[in-house]
Amino acid sequence: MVRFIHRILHRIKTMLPPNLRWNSLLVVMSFSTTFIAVVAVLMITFAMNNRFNASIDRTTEQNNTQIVDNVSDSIDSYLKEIRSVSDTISNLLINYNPEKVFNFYHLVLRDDIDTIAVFDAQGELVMKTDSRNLKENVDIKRQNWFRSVAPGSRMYMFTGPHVQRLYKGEYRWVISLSTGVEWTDGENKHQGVMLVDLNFNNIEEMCSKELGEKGYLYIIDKNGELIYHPRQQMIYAGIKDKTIPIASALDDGSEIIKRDGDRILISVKTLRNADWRIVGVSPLNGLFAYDAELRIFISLIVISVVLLIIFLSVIVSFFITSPMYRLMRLMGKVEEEKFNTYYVARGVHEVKELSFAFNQMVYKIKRLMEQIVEEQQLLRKSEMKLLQAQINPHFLYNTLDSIMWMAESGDQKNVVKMISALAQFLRLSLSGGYDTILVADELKHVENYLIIQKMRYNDQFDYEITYDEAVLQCKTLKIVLQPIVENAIIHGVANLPYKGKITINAGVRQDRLFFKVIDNGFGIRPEILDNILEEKPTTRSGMGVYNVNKRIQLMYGAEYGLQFESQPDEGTTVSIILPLAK
Amino acid sequence: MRRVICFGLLVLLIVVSLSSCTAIKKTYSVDLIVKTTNSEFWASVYDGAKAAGAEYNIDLRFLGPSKEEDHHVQVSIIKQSIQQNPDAIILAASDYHLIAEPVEIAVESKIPVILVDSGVNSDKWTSFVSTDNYKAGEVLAQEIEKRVGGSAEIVVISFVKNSLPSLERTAGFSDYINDKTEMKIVEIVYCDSDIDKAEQLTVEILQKYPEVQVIAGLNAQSATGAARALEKLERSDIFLAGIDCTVEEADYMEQGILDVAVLQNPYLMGYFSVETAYNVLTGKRVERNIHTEVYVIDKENMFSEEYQRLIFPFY
Repeated sequence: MVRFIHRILHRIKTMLPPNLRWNSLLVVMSFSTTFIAVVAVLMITFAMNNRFNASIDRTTEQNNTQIVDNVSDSIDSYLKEIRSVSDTISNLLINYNPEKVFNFYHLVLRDDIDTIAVFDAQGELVMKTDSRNLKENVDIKRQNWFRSVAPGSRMYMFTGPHVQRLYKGEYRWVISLSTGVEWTDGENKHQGVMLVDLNFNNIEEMCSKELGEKGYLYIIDKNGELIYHPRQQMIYAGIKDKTIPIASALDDGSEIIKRDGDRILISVKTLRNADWRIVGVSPLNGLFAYDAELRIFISLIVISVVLLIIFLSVIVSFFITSPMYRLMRLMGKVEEEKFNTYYVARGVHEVKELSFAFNQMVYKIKRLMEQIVEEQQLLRKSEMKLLQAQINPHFLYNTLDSIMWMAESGDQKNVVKMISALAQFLRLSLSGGYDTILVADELKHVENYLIIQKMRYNDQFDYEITYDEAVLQCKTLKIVLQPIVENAIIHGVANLPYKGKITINAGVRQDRLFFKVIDNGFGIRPEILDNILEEKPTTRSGMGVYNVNKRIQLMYGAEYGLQFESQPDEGTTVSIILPLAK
Repeated sequence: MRRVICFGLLVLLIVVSLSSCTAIKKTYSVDLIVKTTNSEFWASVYDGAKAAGAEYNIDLRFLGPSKEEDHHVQVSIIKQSIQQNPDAIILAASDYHLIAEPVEIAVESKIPVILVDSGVNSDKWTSFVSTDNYKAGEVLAQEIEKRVGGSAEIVVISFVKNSLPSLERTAGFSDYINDKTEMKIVEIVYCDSDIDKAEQLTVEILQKYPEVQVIAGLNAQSATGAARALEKLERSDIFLAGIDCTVEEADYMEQGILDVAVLQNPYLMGYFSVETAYNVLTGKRVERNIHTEVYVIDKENMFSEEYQRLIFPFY
């Protein structure tokens, strides 16, 4: 499986243009710059987020503390107000009889006070503010608010939320303020308890202050029992608010509590007029939870910055690498030996420098190549001169020796013939320094040589020269036939017991010019034949053949040159193959 | 290989930054379809549901027929709700058999159904939040045994014949009375969750069985109707036991007409049903059956701190 994936990746890799492969500079640069930039952006975002969160925490803390202070102030003054209502009535009760007092207080009844009533020490109703009738068989003495203060004691006590059941069919949740009161009815002093039932209207309103997005305020007493909570019914049904036990253990002030991975800010303030504590709770979820719009905004910014970075890094990498790829392609051309390439520098400084150096290098290579070609030609010329030059002296010496002997014996006719042949032979040999001559001239040259040699060897052999008319006007390297013929005479026909024959043939075959030198002499031994052109021979005559071949190949290349066929005692055929040139 | 890792990291970073966008809390819409919208019990369920809805960011619609016995109205309400394609339906089935089909339609439409209080004859629902009704009937029977005992004759006023709570409470009650006590159930009548009918039935029962000592009302309407009749007839000597306790019943209890009541926690049922719906929608595992507690209240303990909180709604 892994190998399969590797193979597919490899396929993709080879199909991609070179500047898009994984290890190409463009890709590596794009990825690395993108990666670094993205990491940087995220780190900055993270750091900023933390910084923001810390400042949001601080602001929230200040805010909440202030709100809790404000709410506790207003609840404090509310409770004080309720107490002053109670105090006023109990003060009035000392001097007036309850009926008068309550007729007066009828006027100031307010919608946050459910009931104001006075009960005597036995729990019997003495007077109340409204006209609703008390339920029969209601046992006042068993109720907590009644038992919490001693009748006539002037003490007061708030009793937390409970269902008031004074009236038929009415079961209202109230907070009761009970005060021990005294009053005089005629001569008799009475003691009893006054009840002020508060409903939650005002408290609810005062606690409905916004505390951040998900924050809320509630009231507990000093034992951690709930007085008021915006979700009172929920808690009564059994869903706990986990912050209540925490808050009841805290001192006044604000504290951040970590709970189940959430951070909660709890601010507590104890009231002056009751044993109650105001608790403000708000979750601290940081910047991202603070405001959905801000969250989207920041995410969008981060994403667009990342996209921008990707875009820019690709662009920049492309800008930097594309001249390098051009340079790379040009180098490829140079590899194909196209030296007429040079680079017009664009892009970054380093690439310019590089391409300048490249141009210099290509120029130098080109110069060096030309120089080498030139030098090679010079070398070849001088070598050819050298090879050509080796033909002459012995032959000339021997010929002149023959002429001398003929002249001495008075054979005038042959002297003339020989000198005339030698003259023509030399003229062609030294023909103006040209390397190539007409085939006709070459044939004439070898014929003159044969004339001379036939006379010197006393007609020991005959010769014949045949040719296609067409080849006479072709060009050939000069003096290729004479060394071959020399060899054929010396090693072939010179010492034959019968009369030898040398045949020279010139023609065209397969678009090539060829000469054939055929003799009927001794032939060449196979072991010599095999190496005849390979090694530089030590004998002078072998040298001639070797040089001819060498010259032809230096001039025209390895596909041209000499070919030998020989049968011992039957003769030798030497083919000279040359390019066909007019 | 290194490059592949670099690339992977990059993709990861982009995904993380993208997903931070989508992490914004979704608001779900949930329909709460109850047996009737005209009842203190269901109002309390709705209150609990609302509280959970506020907690979990859920748009809640409170739907139901105006009369509990209008099963067909409830069927069409469920079908209309399915048309609206809410994220989930919380349902209190008014009929065990009739409501099974619409429940299955809803589930086929990929709307999860959470049952509250009353079940249906189908197993396609996701979760069922209820009182253990069999146990409620049993506890009621135990209390009667404890407080009356002997070989007392009992008349049971149940409510709707084919609703699951009615069946289960009746079964729990009768099983205990028949198997564990000397007492005798002389008749089981059905008031169709109609207070007036329950009152009427009580009057008839008292004529028909003059020896009867105990009346057991298996839901709020049954017990309330019975209490009204007993008050009018001044028959507080009859031991009246009920399941649920409305404010009106609390008043009868204070007067000594209603002697004992087994209390459910409808608010908590409502709360749990929405919480369960939220858990289903957010892919958390939920219990198939969720039971809320029952409590026994009487004249002595009804104003105790614990029970007054459950009986009297805080507003």
